[in-house]
Amino acid sequence: MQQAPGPKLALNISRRAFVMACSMVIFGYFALWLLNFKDIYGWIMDDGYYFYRGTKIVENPWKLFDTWNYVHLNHLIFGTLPILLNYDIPSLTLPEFEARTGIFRGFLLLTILLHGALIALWMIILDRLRLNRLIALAAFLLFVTGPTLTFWAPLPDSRMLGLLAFLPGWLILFRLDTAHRLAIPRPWGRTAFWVGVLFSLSQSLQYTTIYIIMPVLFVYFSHAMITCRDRIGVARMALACLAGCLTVPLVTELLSAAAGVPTALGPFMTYLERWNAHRAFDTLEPPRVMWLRMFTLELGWPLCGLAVVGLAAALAGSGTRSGVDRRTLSLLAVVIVIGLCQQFFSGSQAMFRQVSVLLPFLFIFVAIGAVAVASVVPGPRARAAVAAVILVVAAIIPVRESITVFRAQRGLGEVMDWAAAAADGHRVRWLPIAWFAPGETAVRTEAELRNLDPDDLLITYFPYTFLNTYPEVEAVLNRLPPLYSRPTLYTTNAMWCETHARGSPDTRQVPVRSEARVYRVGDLLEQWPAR
Amino acid sequence: MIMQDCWTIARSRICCGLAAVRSRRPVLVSAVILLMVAGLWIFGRLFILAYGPAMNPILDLTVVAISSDSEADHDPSRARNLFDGRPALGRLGQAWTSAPTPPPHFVLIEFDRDYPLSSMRIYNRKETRLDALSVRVRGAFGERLVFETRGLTGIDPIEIPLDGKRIRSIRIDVLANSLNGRRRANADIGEIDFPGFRVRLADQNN
Repeated sequence: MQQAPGPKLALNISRRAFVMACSMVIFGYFALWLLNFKDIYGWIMDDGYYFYRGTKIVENPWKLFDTWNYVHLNHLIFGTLPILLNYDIPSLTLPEFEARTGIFRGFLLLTILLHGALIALWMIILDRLRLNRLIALAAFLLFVTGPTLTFWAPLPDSRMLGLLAFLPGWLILFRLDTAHRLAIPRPWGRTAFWVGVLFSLSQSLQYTTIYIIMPVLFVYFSHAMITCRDRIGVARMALACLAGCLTVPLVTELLSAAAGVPTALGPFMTYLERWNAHRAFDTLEPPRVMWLRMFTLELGWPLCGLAVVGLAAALAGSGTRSGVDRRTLSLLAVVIVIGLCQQFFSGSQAMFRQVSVLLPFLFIFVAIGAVAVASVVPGPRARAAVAAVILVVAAIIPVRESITVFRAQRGLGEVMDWAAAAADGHRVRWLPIAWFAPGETAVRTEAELRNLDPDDLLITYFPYTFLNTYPEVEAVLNRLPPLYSRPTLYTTNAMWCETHARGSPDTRQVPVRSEARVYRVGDLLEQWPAR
Repeated sequence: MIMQDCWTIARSRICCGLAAVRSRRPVLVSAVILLMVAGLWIFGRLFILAYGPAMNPILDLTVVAISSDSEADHDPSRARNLFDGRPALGRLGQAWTSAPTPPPHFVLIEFDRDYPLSSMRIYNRKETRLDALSVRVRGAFGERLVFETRGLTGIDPIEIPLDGKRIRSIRIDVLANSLNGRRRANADIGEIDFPGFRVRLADQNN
């Protein structure tokens, strides 16, 4: 591969050391999640909808084209596999899922495995990119320890899952691009078609991969058109790739029609409907302002600054110290910049999950940025040491946020464990979790609550709708110290970044709504006089 | 130059690999998918098998030390009887009885770590009644008096709410005790338990 002239990062590690280090991190990821899985009960929001969808599809496969007629591959494979494989994990009962809580958690378990596979795939991609391996390792660590992965790792509606099909496609495109540049004679049209198919599969896994597919196709093919003499060949490749990109949407559109779904409710129209539904609210601050706040909350100013420096260095062509060739790095930088601008200025709601497909790539530029900043220091070893220190300091904010998110992931499970242990023969009841139909263990009305045994325990987890119906209960719960409480995802900045743009209230400072809590029913009723 | 050579070799290997895969593509793809599904199924079975015991909602609680004002190795009424799982029988060797000195008497229970205890239940011996006692708990929050009362009667266990505080040690001070309605110098407790927890005595207490 062509290497641009200029000094490189003096230190490097062997390929074996890189793979070993990454494998240890992957092992750590699995150990962390699987050993703590006892307390992982999910978000109980869109993960719940995905679960219900999966159960419906198992009963009737044509339900794949029901309401929310999109991300079919995700529903078809990831949604049904835990049920077909009977992943019935021993669990305490969630009111929404009752006896099926174990299967719901099997769903979460599979998602953790899929994210593990994604991390492993990302390691392979970083290896193939021929980056300086220290930079690659830094980028890998930043991705794995970041709050975004920690937030989405057990959640089946994770937008990152689309990368499972996108990354192999992108790797082939990268190879194809390099081969084309080196004028290696080969019929690349067919390969370009399969790249397109992989991209369309990734979009069927999670539609948000479109935010990286579009810039990648635009940048790679427009650059090839400008720089290659065989423009007709490039145009053929682009068309073949585009045809590949349309395969899965066309197949799903046809199958949806065959299932009797009207065109107005077909996959294509559903995407358009989603697009409209995700338009930013005028009543909230502009999306670009929100994006800046989210990036600084999730990643911190230092890391964002390094990303800007790294992108600028790559665009200016001085990112060669990373070891990868200048052209590839510059193209990748353009892709990321376009991908980010797309989000910042599209007028869509600012939800951090939408950029989660760009983050792994962005972290490469963070590491390059650290090297670029450290290049002012004389001496190669001192430079490497300074770059490492800069990265560690910059990583403090996201890693701290990530730890908070991981603790919050366990919050609901810990509260359920505690209540089960403390119930001592009495029942454990719930206030309804917002947006879901309450199960048998949840109390629906004031009358039901008053009829409970005073010694029963009451768990509250995001009782948004119940508290809106009975505001006086919220006042009581504010006064009454819980028997036990743990922070949940609703207390984290990561959750705010995902829900604020939807107009959801900021629950971070409202413990009654954001924590999972246990109360004794008698204590609650004493403070809540009958009307 | 070296990089170019590497790339050429890598490219030829990839091409050879792709050609080999292409020739048997349907069989290979099916085999890989089947293997992945089988692997996931086996993983699921093993995970559930290994994971089942961890879901026992009854948690173990380890008591590392129990001391009282009347501990002696030969004493059949020493405080370790408080956790023998036999409440209220009151037979010798199944309850704690203090020395026959004037009250107050105390029992100090220490755990191996902080436990989020919802409550504690103190059982009387069959014939004796705790008439006045206080309970202090210690944890990361410091020491706190959580219960103090006089005039307790009845056979029902005395339930002391601990509100899920993370507690490291508990001290019970018995201020007055009676036997068949008459004041008694000794203090007696039949049993203590913590709802939701299975008490395990560390080796030195067994």
